[in-house]
Amino acid sequence: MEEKFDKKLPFKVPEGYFDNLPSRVQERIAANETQNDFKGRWVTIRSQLAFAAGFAFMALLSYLGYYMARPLISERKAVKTDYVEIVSRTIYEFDDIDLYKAIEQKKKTDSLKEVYNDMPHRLYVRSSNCITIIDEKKEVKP
Amino acid sequence: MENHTDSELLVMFRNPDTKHYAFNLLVRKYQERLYWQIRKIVISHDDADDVIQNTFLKVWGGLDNFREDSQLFTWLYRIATNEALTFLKKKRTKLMLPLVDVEQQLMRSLEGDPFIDGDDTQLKLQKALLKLPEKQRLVFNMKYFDEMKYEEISEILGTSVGALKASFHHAVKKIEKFLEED
Repeated sequence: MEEKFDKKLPFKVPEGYFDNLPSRVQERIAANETQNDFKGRWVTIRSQLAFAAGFAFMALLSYLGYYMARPLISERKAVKTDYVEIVSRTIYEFDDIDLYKAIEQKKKTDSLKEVYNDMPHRLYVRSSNCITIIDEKKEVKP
Repeated sequence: MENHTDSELLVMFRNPDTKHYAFNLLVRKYQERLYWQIRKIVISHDDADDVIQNTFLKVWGGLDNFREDSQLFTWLYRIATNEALTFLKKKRTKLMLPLVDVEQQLMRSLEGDPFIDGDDTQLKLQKALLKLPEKQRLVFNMKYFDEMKYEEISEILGTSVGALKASFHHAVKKIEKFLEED
């Protein structure tokens, strides 16, 4: 076979191909490293973005959960601290001077007994935290 | 250009200051031999150009981990061969082509590539080679054109010497038969 065919290959390359190949390889390596660097950075940024998105999602869920459950919260029974809050909020709605005048005027016109007679008789039920009026009747004395 | 031994190149490559320079020297030292090995497998110059660049990219990425158990050239040769075979495999998968059609494509490259320059007998031998199974073609190329020892081929292809001898023998017989028929 060797007598029939020489060992020369029927291929050729463009002129100067092997002179330029090393620099082209170096360029490919540099481009690849830049790309890898970008990819590396993107992977880091992507994981940070994923974490931030996860956190934002959890915050949104908490916010929505709180506001959707709010009517349920307001319907709950009033507790002792609520009374304190209500009193402290409404205490300034009374005018002390007007109240005092009204009491003074009443004292002048009515005796204490009359006042007592005019007062409605109320039936109270006292539980641990509050007092509830369950009935009211005015006693008329002959 | 100074001629550096493989060991010197490796020492220079492991030094960050001379890494790029050493790699440049390595490319210059081995580019032709690797190119022709690849070219014999993929036939077209453009494909061979792609494959050799990919080969050197792989070498750049893996040279730090190269343990000097084998010769540097054997290691480079193995990467180049695998890259060329992977290239053909990808071509086959990408175009959904059966093996025969890839061979026909290679045959067309042999006839139409602008960088083919040989006489009729050389082309006839190449056409006969394209009729061979991939492994036999590889073995024939390495033994006949590169005049490599079976032990070296065995190290590169990871096949036993006995199997390589058998492959080469079958390849020669098939080529002779093809040339007689032609």
